[in-house]
This record gives sequence, structure tokens and C-alpha cells, in this order.
Amino acid sequence: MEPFASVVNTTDLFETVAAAFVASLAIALVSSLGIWGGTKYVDYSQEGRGVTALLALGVGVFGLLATVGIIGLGIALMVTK
Amino acid sequence: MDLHLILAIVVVSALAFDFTNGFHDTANVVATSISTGAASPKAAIAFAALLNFVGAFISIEVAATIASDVVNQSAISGAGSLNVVFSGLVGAIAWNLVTWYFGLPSSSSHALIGGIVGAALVDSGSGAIETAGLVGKVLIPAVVAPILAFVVAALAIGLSYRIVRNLRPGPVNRGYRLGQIVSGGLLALAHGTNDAQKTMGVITLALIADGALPAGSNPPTWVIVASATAIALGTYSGGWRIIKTTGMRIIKMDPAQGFSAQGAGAAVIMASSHFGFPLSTTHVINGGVMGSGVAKRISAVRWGVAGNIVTAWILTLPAAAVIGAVTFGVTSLFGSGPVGPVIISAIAIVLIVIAFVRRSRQTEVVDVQAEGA
Repeated sequence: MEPFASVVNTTDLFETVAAAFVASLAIALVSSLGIWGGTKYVDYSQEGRGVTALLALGVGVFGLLATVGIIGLGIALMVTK
Repeated sequence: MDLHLILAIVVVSALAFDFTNGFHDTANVVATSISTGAASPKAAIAFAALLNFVGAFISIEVAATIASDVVNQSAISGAGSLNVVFSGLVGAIAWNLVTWYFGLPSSSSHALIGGIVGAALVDSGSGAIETAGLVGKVLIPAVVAPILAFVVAALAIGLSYRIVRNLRPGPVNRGYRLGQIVSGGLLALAHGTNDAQKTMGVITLALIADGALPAGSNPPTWVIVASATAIALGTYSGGWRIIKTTGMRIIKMDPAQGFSAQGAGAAVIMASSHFGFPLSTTHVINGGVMGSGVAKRISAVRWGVAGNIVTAWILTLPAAAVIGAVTFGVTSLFGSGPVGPVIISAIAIVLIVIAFVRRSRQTEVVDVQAEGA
């Protein structure tokens, strides 16, 4: 019976697990922030809270851009190997 | 001449497998988008087919694994080896069609690997199998990947719910539906990257066995283009029965769950493709769907349906291996020439047509009954 480490490239396996964790959770975080920001912007605007609405919009825009950025980075990493 | 005829049959069979792979796996890619209303079925499938095609060009790591890390290239060479590849493909196509017929989302990838391993074992014994590659690059990732997708999707949906829990559901659902167009696209891209490469790997293996390519070669451009086209056409043709199972029967999903399941699936498949692990996209996305369901509440997952799917997963490798082995045995009765593959291909085509006709008649009956109800 061959030892586990000689059959499995544990570094590749670990990096796969780590990349999947980081990418999924990062996307979930920033996209949810984007949705939170967009929804709160509308709510605060309707309540007449202009500055708070703008801050929420900033969070929403950050979430949207960060989502696009993470996806772009992921695809770029795939292509460059 | 005989060898080239067998090679032509193998290439056509491989592309047919690729087509059935896309056809079979359409559900994995689009089911969650359709079931949450993020996209219409036609738009989701067309988008998925296009991104499947693009994804096939991104990487060749998985193709290299299939071509060199599953069977020993030097142990199988000459006309007999082409029959091994052909028999493996028949095993995979047959198992794909059986599971399609019964609406079970089993793994096309494991069917392919199982079919080839079964045929190679009968041809050359255990020496033809790259045990370390099979275990380290196929079997262990096969176990790890769906569990990883399950855990990651559960954490992702937990995080998402925590952030949006106090918001009005209308805009939140609209936001995640929009996100699902992106996550569904990523999943389609990842699917093309991992699954189209398996066909590239098989055709490359056949070309090496034929002597048209030296051992250790990468897939030629025409192989990449043909494989990308076949899987995209298969995806466009769609597999509606399995879409129902994946998208509606495992859990009833909201858009946030669909987004998390697709995002987790895409991340796991793309990361694995990067390192050359030939995963089952079916296992991964179903793991993600179950993970996103469990995070809401454990009873949200219809465990009976999930159990049927797990059974199909467990059966796939040995079942495809047995079909591949039997096919190789039958093919060998006619020698190492093209007669065996030609006869088997003719029988397979007849059986496929019968299965399609029977299935479409049963679907028509169900539709008529549903309309009358």
C-alpha cells in the first residue's frame, strides 16, 4: 500500500481546496455587500437620508466591482498556467 | 488502413460521448438558474452552450491527466489499444444513456474513466492501469470535490443570509437572480474547461495509440475545437429530465441558494481544472445544491432523492467498467481489426434510437396526463 502523500499531490489538493474556499466565500461576501448596498441605497433615499444613502451606494458599487474583479482574477489565473 | 478506420470510429465515438456529456450535464449547469427563475430555459441553455465552448479553450491540464495518468500509454499500443479506447467510450456512452433514461444525474466523467479502466484491465491486466494517477488524480478528488462544494456552498449561503437577512426580500431576490446569470455563466465556463478536456484527453490517447502522436503529446488544435463544439452542441440540445431532478427535486431553492450553489460549484471545478483533476461536475454541483439547502435547514433537502443520486454516483465507475470490459471482450471476438467496432457501433446506434423513441413517447404520455389533470 503506497503512502497517501506518494499517490496524491497533497500540495495541489490543498491549493485546490484553499482556492475554492477563498473564491467562493469572497464572491459570496462582496456580491452580498453589493446587494445590501443597492437595497439600502433605495431605502435610505426614500427616507430622505441622502448622505447615508450615498454611503450605502458606495458599499454597493464596491461590492459589484469587487465581484467582477474576483471573477476576472480567477479566470486570469486559470488561463495563465 | 484498418488502424485508421478504427481511429476514425474512436474519434467519432469520443465526440458522440462529448455530445452526450453536454446533453447529460446541461442540468448541472442551468438547473438552478431555471428553477429560481433567474433565466428562461432557452436563454440559460444557449448561454451555457456558448460558455461551454469558450471554457474548452482555457486549459489542457485535465486532458493531460486523462491521456497519461489513467492508463499506461506504453502498455496499450497498436490496434488492440484503439479497441480499448473504443470500448471504454461505449461503456461511458451506454451508462450516460441509462442514467439519462431514468433521470439520474450520474457522472459522465467517472463513466468515461470507468469504461476505459474496465476495457484496459481485460486487455492488459492491472499493469495497464496507472494506479497512482487513478487514485491520486481521479478517485480522491472524486470524494473530496462534492464534500468541498457542499461545505463551501453551506458557508457561502450562511454568509450571504447573514448580510442580507434584514433587507426586503424583493430586491434581494432580484439581486441574486442577476448574480445567478453570472454564477451560472461561470459554472458553464468551468464545465467546458473540465469536461470537454476529458474528450480531448481520450482522443489524444487514441492518437498516441495509433502512432499519429508521440507519447506525452498535448491535444492538437483540431481536437480542442472539435471537443469544444461537440460539448456545446450537446449542452444546447439539453437534458430536461435531469434538469427537473437537480433543479427542483433535491431542494426547493431561493435565488441566494442557487447563486451560492453555482458559485461554489464553479470555484471548485475551476480550481480543480487548474491542477488537472478530472472532476465530476455532476457531483460538485449536486454537492453545492445540497450544501446550500442544508444551511437553511436540514429537512429542506429531500434526502430520498439525494440518496438515489448518491447510489448512481457509487454505481457509475464499476457499471461503466463492466460495460467497457464486456464491450472489449465482444470486440476482441472479431480480432483487432475494425469489424468489432463497426458491429458494436451499429448495435449502439440502434439501441440509442430505441431509447430515445421510448423515452419521448413516455414523456408525451406524461405531458398529456399533466395537461388533463
